[in-house]
Amino acid sequence: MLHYIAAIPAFFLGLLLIVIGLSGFRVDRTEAGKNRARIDSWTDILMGRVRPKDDWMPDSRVQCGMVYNRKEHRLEVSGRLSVESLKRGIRRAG
Amino acid sequence: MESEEPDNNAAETPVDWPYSGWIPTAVGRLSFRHIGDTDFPERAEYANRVDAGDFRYIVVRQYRALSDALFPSLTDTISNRSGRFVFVLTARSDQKTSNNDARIVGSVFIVPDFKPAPVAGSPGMSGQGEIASKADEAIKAINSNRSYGPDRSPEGECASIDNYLVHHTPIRIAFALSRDGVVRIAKPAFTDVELGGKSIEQAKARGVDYERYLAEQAYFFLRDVAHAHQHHEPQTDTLLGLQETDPADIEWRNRLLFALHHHVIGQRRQGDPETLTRTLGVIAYARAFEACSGKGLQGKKLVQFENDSLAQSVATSVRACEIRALETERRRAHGRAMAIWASVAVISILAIFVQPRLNLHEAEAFPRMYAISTVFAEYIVVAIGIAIMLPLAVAWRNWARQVDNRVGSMRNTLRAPLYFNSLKVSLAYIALGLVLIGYGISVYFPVIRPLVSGLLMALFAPQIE
Repeated sequence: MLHYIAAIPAFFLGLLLIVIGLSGFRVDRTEAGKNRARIDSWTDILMGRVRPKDDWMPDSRVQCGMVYNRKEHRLEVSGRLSVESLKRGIRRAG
Repeated sequence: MESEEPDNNAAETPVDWPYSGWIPTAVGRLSFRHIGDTDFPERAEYANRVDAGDFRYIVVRQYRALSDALFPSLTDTISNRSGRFVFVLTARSDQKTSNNDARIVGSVFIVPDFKPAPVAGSPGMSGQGEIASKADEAIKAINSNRSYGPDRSPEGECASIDNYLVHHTPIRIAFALSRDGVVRIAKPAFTDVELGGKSIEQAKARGVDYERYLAEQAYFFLRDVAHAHQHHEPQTDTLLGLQETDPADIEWRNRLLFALHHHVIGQRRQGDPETLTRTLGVIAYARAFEACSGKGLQGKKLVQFENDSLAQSVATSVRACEIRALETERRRAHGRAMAIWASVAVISILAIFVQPRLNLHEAEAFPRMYAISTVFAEYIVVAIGIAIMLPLAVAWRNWARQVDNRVGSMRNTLRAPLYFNSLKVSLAYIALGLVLIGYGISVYFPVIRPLVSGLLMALFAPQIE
């Protein structure tokens, strides 16, 4: 029974991943290059450690937040690509 | 570590207020009355009242999820981090509200999700829940009192919660907000010195000025509670940031104007009507900021932008985009109409000409058609299930193709490929997708198989004459 319930979201999630994979073919090369320069490794994307450009001009490609590290008792800088960057990255190549 | 408390009545100097920013207001006069009335990023609890002496008192409490991890509930839990913060604002007007020059002065307190250890001989830090509950009590007290006694006035409640927060929260950031939207922000004062020291040290290792970064978080909070995001995605917090105050009080304004126009030019290249129309709103903000800045500069000149021409140019682009979008929609509508027409024609022919022939008496004359209808009748529930799933799958695929429609985890999943213009990443997504779809189909295959095999038999098995 559990399989019958799980199979439906799995089917739709799979469809979503295929759609995202296909939109990956349309990613703007220049934008992807700029985005890569903001990270050191893929774990930075997962953990939200994308760096904004260090400049007086606000970097609207990255949205900035922060996290509290309980183990180290410190606040840490957090960041990820902004929603507008998503649109820019996909649409311009389309 | 702890910064000097700025004098709220002093002139704006880089020493007192090292950071300056602007909370956009198209009319050039920010409505203080609406500070706190916001649902973004979460509903804020707030009290915002003017007392009998015509002074305004404001207390706002908001939970803010600030982690930018792709799946914060998973990775932050594993790595023992938390992106959930409580922000509390306590403020009052520095003059009577009827005075045009009245500013809102006060502090933003930031509380991370920690369990503070008890400290002997000092009040110690309070946890998030306790701080939020104290702030909510003050908000409730200010909102519920219609007439104020000397000990239950908004001034008393505001001073009481402010005093509590000063001694029980780890970070305090003073600010002064003017009617024209200009906000001056002081350096953060760390009551928890250890937290401040470790945070600054770690940020320095990553090349970040943490004091400014933290002041910017306070600015984002102020902007969220005092302004409705109408011309950009609300999550795009870095469209306008804080600038460092300069002695002439003009350079930061020029930088802010550059930032607004930089955004306008970037958005113009997107080429969709919604983004372009929103860009017109940002140009209106730039005009408003120029106007409000021009009043107090005493002859000093801001950098000049031809905003009228720019707005006209963007409006023309909007019109051109609309025409293109209408043309595309017309073509699609034509295609849809043709598809519907063809389907209706086929169904009508089947219904009018074939269906009357499909009875037990005529079954021998149309054996294949009879066999197909028999299979469908036998597995009617499965057939209905497939008939529902197929359009749903097509609708889901069309919905997911639009970036605007992708929310939360779906949007975050999209973020990963945007760093890599790599065939491998795209293929990995597709392969994983196929595995999941394969799983879904394999589970339901035993249910679907009789219908499919029955149909194949009906269609291709040789008919006995």
